[in-house]
Amino acid sequence: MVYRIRFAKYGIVRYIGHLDVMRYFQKVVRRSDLPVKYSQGFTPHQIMSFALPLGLGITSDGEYMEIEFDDSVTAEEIMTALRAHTTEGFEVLDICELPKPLPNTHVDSAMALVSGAEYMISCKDGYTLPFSSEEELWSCFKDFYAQESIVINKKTKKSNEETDIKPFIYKAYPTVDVAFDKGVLLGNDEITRSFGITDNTAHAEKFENGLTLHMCLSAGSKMNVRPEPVIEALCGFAGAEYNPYAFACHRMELYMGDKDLHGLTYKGEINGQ
Amino acid sequence: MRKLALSDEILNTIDKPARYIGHEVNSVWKDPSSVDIRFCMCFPDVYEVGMSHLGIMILYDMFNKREDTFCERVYSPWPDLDAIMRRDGIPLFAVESQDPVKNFDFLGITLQYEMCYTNVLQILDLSGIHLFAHERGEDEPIVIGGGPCAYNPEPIADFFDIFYIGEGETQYYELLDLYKEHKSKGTSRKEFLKAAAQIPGLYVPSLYEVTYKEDGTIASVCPTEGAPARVKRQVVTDLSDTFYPEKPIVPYIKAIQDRITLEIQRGCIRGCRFCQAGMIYRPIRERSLDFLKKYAIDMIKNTGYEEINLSSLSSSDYTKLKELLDFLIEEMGNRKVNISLPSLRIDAFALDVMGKVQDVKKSSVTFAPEAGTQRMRDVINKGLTEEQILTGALDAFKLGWNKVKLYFMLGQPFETDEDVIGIPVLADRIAREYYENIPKETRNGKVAITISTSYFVPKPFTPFQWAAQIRPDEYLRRKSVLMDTLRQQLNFKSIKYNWHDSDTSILEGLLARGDRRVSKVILEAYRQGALFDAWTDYFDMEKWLKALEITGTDIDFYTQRERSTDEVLPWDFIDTGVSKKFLASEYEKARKGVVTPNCRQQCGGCGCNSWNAGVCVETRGNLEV
Repeated sequence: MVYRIRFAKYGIVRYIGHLDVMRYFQKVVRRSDLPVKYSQGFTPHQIMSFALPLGLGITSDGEYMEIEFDDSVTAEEIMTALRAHTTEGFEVLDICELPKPLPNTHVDSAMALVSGAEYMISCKDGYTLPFSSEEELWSCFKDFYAQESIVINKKTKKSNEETDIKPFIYKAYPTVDVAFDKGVLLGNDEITRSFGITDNTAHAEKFENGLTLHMCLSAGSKMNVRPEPVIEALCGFAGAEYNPYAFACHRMELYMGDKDLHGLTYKGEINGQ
Repeated sequence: MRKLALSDEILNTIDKPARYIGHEVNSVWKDPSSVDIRFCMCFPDVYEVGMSHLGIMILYDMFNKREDTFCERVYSPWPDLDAIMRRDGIPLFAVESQDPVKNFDFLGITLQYEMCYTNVLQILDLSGIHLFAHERGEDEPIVIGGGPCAYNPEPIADFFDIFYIGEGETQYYELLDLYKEHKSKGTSRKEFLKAAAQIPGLYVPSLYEVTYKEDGTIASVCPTEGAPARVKRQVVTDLSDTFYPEKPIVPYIKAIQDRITLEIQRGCIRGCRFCQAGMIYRPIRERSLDFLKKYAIDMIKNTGYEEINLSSLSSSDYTKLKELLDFLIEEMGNRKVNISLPSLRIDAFALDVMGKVQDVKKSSVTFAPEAGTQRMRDVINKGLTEEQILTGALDAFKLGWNKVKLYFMLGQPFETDEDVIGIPVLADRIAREYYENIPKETRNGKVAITISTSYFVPKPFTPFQWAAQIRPDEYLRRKSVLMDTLRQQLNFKSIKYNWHDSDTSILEGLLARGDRRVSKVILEAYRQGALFDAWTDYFDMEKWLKALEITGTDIDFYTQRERSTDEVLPWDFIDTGVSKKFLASEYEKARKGVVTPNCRQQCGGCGCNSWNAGVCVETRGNLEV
């Protein structure tokens, strides 16, 4: 049985990179003595995959991994065992059983399904910021978003491309409590999205100044937009110098779907959709 | 979660920030104000290297088992962070509490190889501790060194308050108790060190005065303030009744040794004459089967590692190896844990085991003849014959292996060009075994043989401690002789040759057999910017040459000189249990090419039976060796 497991990554362990997070959980599973399934071949490895890598330095309440376990164990047993063997900074929050695929079909892994990610950007204390209030920040963002296009330099190993990311900023809003108020929710009108989880900033670092911005961005293998270039472009638009260390990012949720996004926390529908 | 010593900005800028954040699985936390002693253990190299070291794990566990002590760790900051710390004045900190090292009672530094000495100075410097021990104030940590390099501590003696000679499990509790007593009474640092010198195995350099003769050799080493004339090496007599970590720390990033280390025994029976480890860890002492079985399971359960490594100098000599491996292959197989088995003599038994735990197509079979001819192998007392090598190799080939690694040294005493030529000739003979005996259809491609030569460095407490190290240009000449001979071999296309760098080896020679005056060279090299000398990317011979020039030190005096057996050597004040007479007689036997049987065949009378432990008290004659 394959399970989709949501976990938080926060505090000091935000400095651990994605590959090391994978190795960490492989060891957690071994310590927990859960009946994990292994692949065939001479060097068997655990059947475990992660939905979307998280950048170094970013915290999260919306990380997902999928692990295949033997049918002899229940979801509750898995949760309890994993929670007993994770250490400070990693918290296993949720578990869903994924349905077994019907004959001649297959269930896409979370890795293949991810199409969006939602982030909270917080302004850190002790830095000179281009915005002194939430109203000013949001007003600036509205003007920024009102542009016809928002072009950034997307650096890859091979090239340095200019890309218009405006259509890939799916949603944006200042604070969580006004998220569903149509008046303050900006975004690509072709995309609808529903939250999968509600406690999505529980493990984020909170700052005194309280200035935040939230964005749902395109994510995954087709088009991955990180939050940092968006903030850099925003600062450029505001005529201010961009200091990457002045902002903290927290990933709130991952989404799947094409035009109709919903959170990865699986709620019992069939065949991975 | 404790507040980090480094800011987000710094952590986001440097390479692998996880090196400095601590909070690893199985790391210990105690409230620092609730303990009497704060101990900081240091491995003077980068985190990933330090986290692979078993010794620190043993001591970390041992110290933290005491309620009155909190032991934390510190490692060398990588050059990127080193520069930032100096620029911003950030003091070096321990990873658990993130507190400055200079606030600790003790700073223990393990000395595993000589090329880390400049990193030792980096640790002291970045901690804000006075580099010279005699300048340290009452509140500065007591700096104590241990490990194999402590067997000649003299080149770095000026930087340490105490050295612990030998195995750490025996006397550290005594030292901590003594410290607690002195701390509560408020006695001075000097008084404490004087009392510490009375604990067996502890060497307090400040209490010994060294004088020199006109020719530069040592005239005398005189203890003062009641310190013992000789410091006796510490030995754990029962390795099955001692500390061992059931819960080793699991780093977040990949350590060099990303696996459980199970030390199955200490010491070695073989008595190879070049080998310092074989001399300073005598006599061979095994851990019991029950001990190893229990720890293997516990350590795997507590960490979740995927591989377990059986560690010892010569694993084939562990008398219960078959039973241990039968147990591990089954238990570890069930848990999908790989078994790593280095230091095995290649014979039918070893090949059978290796076939079960390794992918024969990808792994290699390793031989360490260390010399190219039987005569030379007799000189160094490496009891490995050509027949054994060829038979072992052929057996391996028949079972599917086609990769062979061969380790040799160039520059050992009494070596001639004939011996050097023997190396590629032997490699070629192994290749012939493959091509002549393995039919083309069953071959998995060509045989791949790799020859590695390192540049021999004579080490203290070995029979070769009096020998001259060959000059770097002579090493390179011999290397060329080897290469030229290799090209003439029939199967030279199947043989690759790697040779060890000569600059680092000659420096290693200076530091291994240096005296106290060498400390100024190390300090000057550090001031010139030498750091991470064990890393090829960072090692810069120019800085050391400059240091030698500025300090007016003649490196040849330490490396090229053949010493007379009458000379007072800088490390003579240490009693390792192996007598100088034994070492001298072994040197003479080497000169004549006479072999000494191993400890199980016959006792050689080296003197370490004074501990009545291990092989010295085994009944001999009924084991196949």
